[in-house]
Amino acid sequence: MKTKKIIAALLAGVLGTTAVVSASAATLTNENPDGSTEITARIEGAGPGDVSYVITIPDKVDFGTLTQPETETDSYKYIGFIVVATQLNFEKGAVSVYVKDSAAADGQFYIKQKDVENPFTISYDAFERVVDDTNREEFIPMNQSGDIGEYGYHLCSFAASAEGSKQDVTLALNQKQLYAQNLDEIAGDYSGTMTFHSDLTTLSGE
Amino acid sequence: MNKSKKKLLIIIIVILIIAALVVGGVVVYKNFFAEQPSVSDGVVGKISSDWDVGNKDKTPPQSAGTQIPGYSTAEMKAGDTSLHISIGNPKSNECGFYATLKLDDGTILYKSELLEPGCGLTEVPLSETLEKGEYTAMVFYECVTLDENHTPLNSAESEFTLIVK
Repeated sequence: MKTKKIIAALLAGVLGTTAVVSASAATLTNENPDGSTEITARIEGAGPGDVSYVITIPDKVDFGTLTQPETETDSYKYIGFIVVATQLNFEKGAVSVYVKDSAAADGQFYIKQKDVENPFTISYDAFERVVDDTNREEFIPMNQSGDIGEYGYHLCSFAASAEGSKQDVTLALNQKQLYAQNLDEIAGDYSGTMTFHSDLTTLSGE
Repeated sequence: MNKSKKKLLIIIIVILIIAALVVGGVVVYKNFFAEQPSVSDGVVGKISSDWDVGNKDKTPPQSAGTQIPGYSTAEMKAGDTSLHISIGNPKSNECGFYATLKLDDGTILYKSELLEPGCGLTEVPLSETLEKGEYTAMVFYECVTLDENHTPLNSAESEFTLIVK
């Protein structure tokens, strides 16, 4: 019985020693070479040069497989996504988000045929809301509003209290552009990219 | 020494040997084999593999899409050759970033190598010094796929005010 108690005490000591060594090995770094315990605190809120906010944008523009219509009629294909105010680390002001197609000089949005000498381009519209065949004609796409600025079309603004807010966006491509085209020439992969511009503005008086 | 005492002594020795091996193993592993994230704080131009958006209590939730950091201001002194600004690729992203720090007149102050998710830097070396004043600047995040093709994805510009004192 006495033997068992001694062995149990020894085992407890061994386990305790291992834990202590493990913890001390983890905290012994170049930042505190003397091995002393370092207690740190962080004051939240973004200072100059720190990240003040994080927004989430869509990865890419991908309309999938397009279909050539048999008649010259509207035939829209839609893709939807959201822009999210993922993290807002400021107390006043708002983050404004703009969008444009950096490769287009005319303020429109395009996808372009890849890996060919004279690529075929297809335009699409961008709406700052959810749009489908049932309501598309009720709204003017951003790229037809004429209201483009240096950084593109104003998509939305996220106020300081709007963390987690989402902005719906719909892209609409009219496959009528493919009507009567030579499929041998226009078949293939298409790609296009959007550029999202953001800035944090504080209104005067805030 | 009777038989039971001898047995106890052997057990104690075995336990001590095991303890020594465990302790030694832990120390060797921690110091030589455990993966240590590189830290760039205070080192100009050094890219850290443990970069984050700077608010560890509010880690951005995982969501579809690409997370883009944004800024309000950054400050430096006239003639400085580096700028404190936290440029990086949030851990939850599934794409790479090429980050370019530039002024709105097109002057490029810094362009990064490919930043994989979780990589970034906080002290950015500048290609040229600036005179006292306020500048409109931005970090252009060019997003690409992580495969060998590095196919361009949607990109983003985060505008901020650069104050040179």
